[in-house]
Amino acid sequence: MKHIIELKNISIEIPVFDVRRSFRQSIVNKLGASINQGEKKKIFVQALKNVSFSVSPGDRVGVVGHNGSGKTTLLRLLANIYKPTKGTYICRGTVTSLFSVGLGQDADDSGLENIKTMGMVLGLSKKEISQKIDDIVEFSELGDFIHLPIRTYSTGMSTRLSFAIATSLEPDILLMDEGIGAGDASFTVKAEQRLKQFYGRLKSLLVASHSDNLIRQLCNKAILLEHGSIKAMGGVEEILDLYHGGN
Amino acid sequence: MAKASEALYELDRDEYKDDRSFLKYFLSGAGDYFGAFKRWRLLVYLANAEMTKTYKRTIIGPFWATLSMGIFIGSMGILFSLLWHTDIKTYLPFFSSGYIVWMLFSGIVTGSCATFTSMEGYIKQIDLPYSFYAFMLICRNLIVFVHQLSIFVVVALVFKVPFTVDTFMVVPALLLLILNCSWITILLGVICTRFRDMQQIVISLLQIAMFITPIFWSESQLSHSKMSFFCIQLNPIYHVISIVRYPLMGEATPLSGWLINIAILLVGWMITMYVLGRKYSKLVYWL
Repeated sequence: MKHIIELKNISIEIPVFDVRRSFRQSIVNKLGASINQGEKKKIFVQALKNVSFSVSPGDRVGVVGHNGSGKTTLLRLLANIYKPTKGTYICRGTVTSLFSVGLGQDADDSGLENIKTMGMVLGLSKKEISQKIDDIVEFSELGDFIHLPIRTYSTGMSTRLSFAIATSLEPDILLMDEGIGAGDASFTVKAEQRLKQFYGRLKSLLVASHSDNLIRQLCNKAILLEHGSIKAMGGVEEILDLYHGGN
Repeated sequence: MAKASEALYELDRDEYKDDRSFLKYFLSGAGDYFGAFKRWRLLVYLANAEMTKTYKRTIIGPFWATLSMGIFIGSMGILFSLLWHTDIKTYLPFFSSGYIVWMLFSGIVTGSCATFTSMEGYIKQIDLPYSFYAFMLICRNLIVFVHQLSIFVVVALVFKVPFTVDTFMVVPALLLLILNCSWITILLGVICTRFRDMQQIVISLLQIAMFITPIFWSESQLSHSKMSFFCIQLNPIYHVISIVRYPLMGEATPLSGWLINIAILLVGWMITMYVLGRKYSKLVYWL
């Protein structure tokens, strides 16, 4: 079977700019002032280093690693936001990234308007949104509040709304930075069911998380990142042991 | 924010170069530009949402800006027509049409410095073509422009500006202006993302440009001096603005005006596509 995601020797170097490297400096460099020859070097942060792996349909990959190990960078690369400095990235399928569920949210808009905006931003068509909207409204248990600006919502209410929107998506490949929060306790049983259905529809899932439980629940594979390169890839338990063993 | 590994290291600039050709960069930039057109549904939706938002919780919404601009145009129009002993019947329509188009142009150019930096939240979350953010900025300014246009309509009705066949040319003229703005927005957006000082430079240059370009004063006032050649014929901003102003005044735009605008569009657009393609993979790291 063909891999849906393939990474070959990917490196990402993020340039670091400071004041000295701003406009003034560039002009001076262009003018060829000899004192500044040393400035021709640029500073980079190596966020990913020679990362290669592939994901087949059905793989649910958990990405673990300490802060600064490159988890977010890797997800952003997969979401086509970061472009690799070196190497190739091939993706066959539609990728949806849920890095922050509140993207496109506007506090002065009503719940309904926000469902539309967030749905559009996440790549749904108007038709898809009108098909899903009843389900979202019903699930979020907002009742008449759905017509009020979300500024008036309690934290739990807006969490339920974002949760309902996020779980109504049907992507091939889902990228997540940490799991989706479901809000207050009475909501969680229903939410868990919905989450299960949601994850069941996915072809593939890549989730970066610090929570071992989340990785155990969702994933059948795991990647351990360390200083931007893959330290190990394999079964969930094996990788989690290695991750904690290294502490 | 991107979590990067702690290891900072230095890399030679030459090592960073790759050997792609002009055409490849150009095509990659153009791919992004036309890719953004494919997302027109989202664009229309967001523009529409933005429009309704401006009306929210205020009685006359964006017309507040229109009102203050109307007062400005009215008082300046009277002042300058007195100062220069020109007839207010001809001066006010001339000034208001030029000033409204100028405000559209300068609004877009000022905003273009923050095309990408202000949308960092989006750019780092979802995969949309970079040009999309430029189009969004233009849409936002066009909405304002449509409101401001009502000032000119009032002026035109009061002072009986002729409504002729040429008036309809305002549609293609505006389209050309928008297309020109689209490349300016992307180009300045890319440059200002990398060099944050550029924004201040652009803003101060724009201020000067407003007075150099015949907006407050008319072309005929400068007669045929060397200065007039510099401020009018050699001034691309003049051509970009006047192409919309002529039809608004019910006059025919000279053929040279159209040709110059099309030439600016072609050259500017091609350079922009090259720059965008060239910096495509690096832009997000500059944010």
